[in-house]
Amino acid sequence: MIPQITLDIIIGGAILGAVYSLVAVGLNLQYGVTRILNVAHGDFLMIGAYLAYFSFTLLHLNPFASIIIIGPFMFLIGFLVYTLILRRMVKSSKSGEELEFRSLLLCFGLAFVIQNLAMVLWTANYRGYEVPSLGMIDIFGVNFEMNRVIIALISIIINIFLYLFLRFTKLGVAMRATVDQPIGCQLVGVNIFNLCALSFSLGILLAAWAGTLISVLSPTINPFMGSPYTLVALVLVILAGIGSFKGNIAGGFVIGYLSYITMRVIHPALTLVVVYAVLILILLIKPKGLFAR
Amino acid sequence: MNLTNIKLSTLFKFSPILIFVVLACAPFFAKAYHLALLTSVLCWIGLAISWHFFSGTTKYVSLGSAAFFGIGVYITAIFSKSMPFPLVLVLAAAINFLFALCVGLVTLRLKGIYFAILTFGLAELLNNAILFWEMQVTGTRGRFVTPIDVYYPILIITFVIIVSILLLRRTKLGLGLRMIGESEDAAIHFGVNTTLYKVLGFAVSSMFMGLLGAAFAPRWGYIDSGIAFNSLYSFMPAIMTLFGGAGRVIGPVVGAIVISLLEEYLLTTFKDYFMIILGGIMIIIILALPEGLTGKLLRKST
Repeated sequence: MIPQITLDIIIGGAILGAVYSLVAVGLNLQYGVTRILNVAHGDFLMIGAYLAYFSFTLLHLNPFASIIIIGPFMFLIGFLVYTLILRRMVKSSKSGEELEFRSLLLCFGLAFVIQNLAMVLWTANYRGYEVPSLGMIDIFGVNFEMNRVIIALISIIINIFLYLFLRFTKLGVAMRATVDQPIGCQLVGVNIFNLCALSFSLGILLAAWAGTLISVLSPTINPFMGSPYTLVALVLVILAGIGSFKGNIAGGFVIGYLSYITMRVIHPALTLVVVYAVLILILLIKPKGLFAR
Repeated sequence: MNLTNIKLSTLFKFSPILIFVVLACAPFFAKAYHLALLTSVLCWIGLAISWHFFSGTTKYVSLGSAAFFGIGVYITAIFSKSMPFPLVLVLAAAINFLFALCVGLVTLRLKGIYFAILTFGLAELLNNAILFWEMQVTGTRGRFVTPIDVYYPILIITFVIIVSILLLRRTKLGLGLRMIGESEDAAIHFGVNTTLYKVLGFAVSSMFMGLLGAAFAPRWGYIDSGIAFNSLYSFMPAIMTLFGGAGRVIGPVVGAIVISLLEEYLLTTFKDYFMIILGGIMIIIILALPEGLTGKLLRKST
């Protein structure tokens, strides 16, 4: 019996870790490049979940197919939010500190609007949908829902593509460079406004993708489901170190395992508490994050 | 120029006493609804000014006000049946002060966004922990508080907070906090014990918030962790200060009055869309008033 539960934890934690790293990677990219801490991150995730729900119930699209449409759509939304709202603030802020503070409050206002708009549009009811099951998969004698495994794989694939994008394309290199040296980047001719808009939109796209996947994993969705994911993403950004891609993946698995163990061994309701307590402990030892360079 | 300055300063010196007297008489002529509204406006003023005392001056943005406010609320809920109300308030102040000392010692080593996130998580953490405790251990959700009229407690506490903050601004602590806000490195070079001042400033500000929470709790009659640790209590004081303008004590006061009245108006006029409009207004305020209302007005007048 003991190896059974150990295996369950090893694989279940890995699945959760893969999803968490996807939840946080968008926020980390956004904050690293634009210095805007988007506390509405989880609410964009919620929109992604609802879009998946509606394309499944109304258009009979499998979430694994609708994810292809949801991504670009939310990218567009992110681009609009940045150019119409956030850009003004970036221009009128005198210092980086001021920008961070104001963007934090502004994104809280945004979260407020999104949550309540969703409640008015889609009611506060808990909704759920059943994705056609692909059966169970037997991993070393422990049964796992095939869908869960596929979701973890998709999360990992998205992460790999993002890594390749950041590592090898010109745009990706510019983004990474901006995280390290924003002023130096401008000096060598990077259009930082466009780059910030693109990074922000990419972050929203990733949030929406995470939401789509989570809508399959969790039994129900509702307009206020975003906040816990915002918190997980924030914790992960601190843990990983800002702009650290590898740290984000590693941190995702740390938090994933921690949450899964808490869920299985202690109690599901205590997950956030344990995660947060561990974060404080880590910051006491390493104030710049576990994987900071 | 000089003359108007003197007039203004004497006016400022006596106006708080005048306002206090008028407000203390309010229950004799105001309607119940207006009195209730006045209570919440006063509570918001207290929260905004306490937030400004630490976060506004040092620029260490705390988003954990709800944590301390909520602790105050819960202390009243737990002890109000077994203790006289003033004693409960003292207890709430003491516990919040000590708790904030511990939190400050841990988190104030972190700068900027890290501090904001950690304090933001604190309220969520307490919310979750208490919810878990209530569901698993006591098997209940929320608590009942004997409702009493909290107008006078809130009025007195808010004025005590305003007066003590005005006095504290001139002390070594207040000046030290302002110096940290201008330049922490310079403050260290001048021999300011920045860690001590930051932790102490944070604890004082949190103590005030807890006191307000404890005094405000009987208004509700019933409370649960979602009400007590509502993230609105974390963000609103910051937005009110930003709206009113940081740097002067009058800023958060003006911000709190305008925004809480606006909130009440929206709530009564557009019930269903109230939260959406409020969020939209928050966004507009942040975009349109980077230095706050009082900052803008004062600049125009000089």
